[in-house]
Amino acid sequence: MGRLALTRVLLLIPVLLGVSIFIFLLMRMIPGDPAIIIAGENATPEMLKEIRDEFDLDEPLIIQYITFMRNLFSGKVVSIKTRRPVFEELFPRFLNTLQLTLFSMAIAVPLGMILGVLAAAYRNSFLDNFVMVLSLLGVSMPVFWLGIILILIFAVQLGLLPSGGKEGFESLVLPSITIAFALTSMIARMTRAMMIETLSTEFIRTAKAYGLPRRKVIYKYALKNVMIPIVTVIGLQFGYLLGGAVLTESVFGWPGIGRYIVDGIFARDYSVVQTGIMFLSAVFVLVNLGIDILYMFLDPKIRRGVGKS
Amino acid sequence: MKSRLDSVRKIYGRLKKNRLAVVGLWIIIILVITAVFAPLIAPYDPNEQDLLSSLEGPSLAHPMGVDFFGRDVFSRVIWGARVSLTISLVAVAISAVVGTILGSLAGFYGSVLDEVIMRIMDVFLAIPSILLAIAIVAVLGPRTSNLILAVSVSTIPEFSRIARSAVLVEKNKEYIEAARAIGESRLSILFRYALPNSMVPIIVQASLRMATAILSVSGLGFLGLGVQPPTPEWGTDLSLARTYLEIAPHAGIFPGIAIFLSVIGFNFLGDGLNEALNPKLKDR
Repeated sequence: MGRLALTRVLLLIPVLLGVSIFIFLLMRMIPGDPAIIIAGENATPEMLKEIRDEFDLDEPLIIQYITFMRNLFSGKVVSIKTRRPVFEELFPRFLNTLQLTLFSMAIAVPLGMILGVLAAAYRNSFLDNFVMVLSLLGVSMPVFWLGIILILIFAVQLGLLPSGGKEGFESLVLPSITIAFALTSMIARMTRAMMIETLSTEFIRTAKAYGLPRRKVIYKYALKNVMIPIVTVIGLQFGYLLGGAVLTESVFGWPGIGRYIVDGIFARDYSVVQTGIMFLSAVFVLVNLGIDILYMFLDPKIRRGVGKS
Repeated sequence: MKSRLDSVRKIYGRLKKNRLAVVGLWIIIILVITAVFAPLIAPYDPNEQDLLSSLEGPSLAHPMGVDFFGRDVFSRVIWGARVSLTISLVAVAISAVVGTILGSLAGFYGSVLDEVIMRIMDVFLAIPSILLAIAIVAVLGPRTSNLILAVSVSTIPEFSRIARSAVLVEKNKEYIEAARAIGESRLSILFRYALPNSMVPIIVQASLRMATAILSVSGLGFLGLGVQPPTPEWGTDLSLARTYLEIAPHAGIFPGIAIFLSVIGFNFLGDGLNEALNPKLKDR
């Protein structure tokens, strides 16, 4: 099992190298002279030369790439616009996004699981249909629209919560609900499907045949069994959210990492974009790896090397 | 051919039992009709400006009100269906074809080809898809062709993964062995037998991906990177409406409902197709 985990870690290297090359080349496809983009239209030839030297713009692409990677690993990548180290700017932004993601998860995980279990326990009841329709609506809702509607109701009409920014706990509520809506739906659907599958398996039927109370069968035995796939889904969503919360962040003016990168894209600040995307991709694959390893630990079949069947 | 028609009828019969899928199908039909006949349905030219009635609320003359530039919101929502559907449809079609070909080649041939293709797909899966789309459009410029490219690039890996695992399942079945025994070439086995039998999950995925594509296109529009004004597009219109939302919420609410409904349509249909086509779920 240790070897399996090690292979997975090693496989990440080519993937992340691929990401770095792709983003590097993509950012070089911006039309126009990068020096002019950095210095502005009115820059003097001397200023342009200085910038070209500073950012190695006259060097061949491969040298620029190697320089970038070297700076990336030593944490020395500098933002083209602000001239400050990118990591210094990026990390607080990342923590903000992390905070938003964790708070949304704290709402969505328990709520989604409760709804999913109830829907499965009372299958084809009104409650089940209600949860299923609601969750399909949840995954269909454009987050930026939901965000705007919530702002209209709770900030503009009722004046209960701030419409944006990041000041204190109140400003966390609306963006978290916005994210949690789709997340709850996904977790509820997943939990329901898994519960239904588990409830029809042999061991649950045996437990029922032994005359164990229904409640105990559902909550003690069945739920325990669906935890592994649910943890996987939650982990995957966690990885997606860290990079995918851009739209929510932009509706609520939340200073997260997604918006930081998007601002970088608009400002043609390719140091920021390359570093930011590399960082998020690395976090994403590491989270996925973490789930896989967790999965190995949780699943006794894999742990003992019996294989999946 | 007759048997294929029969199976289509059978699938439709099963689909009909799923109420949500029927609702989804109707939403999509209405959406397509709206998109095709937009010039006939829309009461006004979507770009006609009547500045005197700027930001007026819904009325008989303007059922969804008027936007900041004095344009009829209802007409813009109708025309918006054309833009969103076209871009999403082309993008999903491209990624379905490219993704399926890459994934099935990887699954069918295995070994080095499989490793190379799937590692490249891993690269694109590792980059957050919305950021990838934003970066592509921002770098190449917000033209329709680039929007399509941006949405397809982030969707191809999903299709290739699904096609790959579907082909892997088919590959070891007896009829493939039989085809090999009578001397069919490998490529022809893949495209004539293995792939057609792997289509179910790909079709389901295509419907679900239409939903995400509509969300991506309008999301890019919302960020100012989508279809450029004055072309009517739901996300772009919504982002313009944001500035004066407190005075005229209707200008933002209705384009949002349009996005929401279209996404619901494709999600309901995709979900229903999954249940109707998936033999494992069928009998439950």
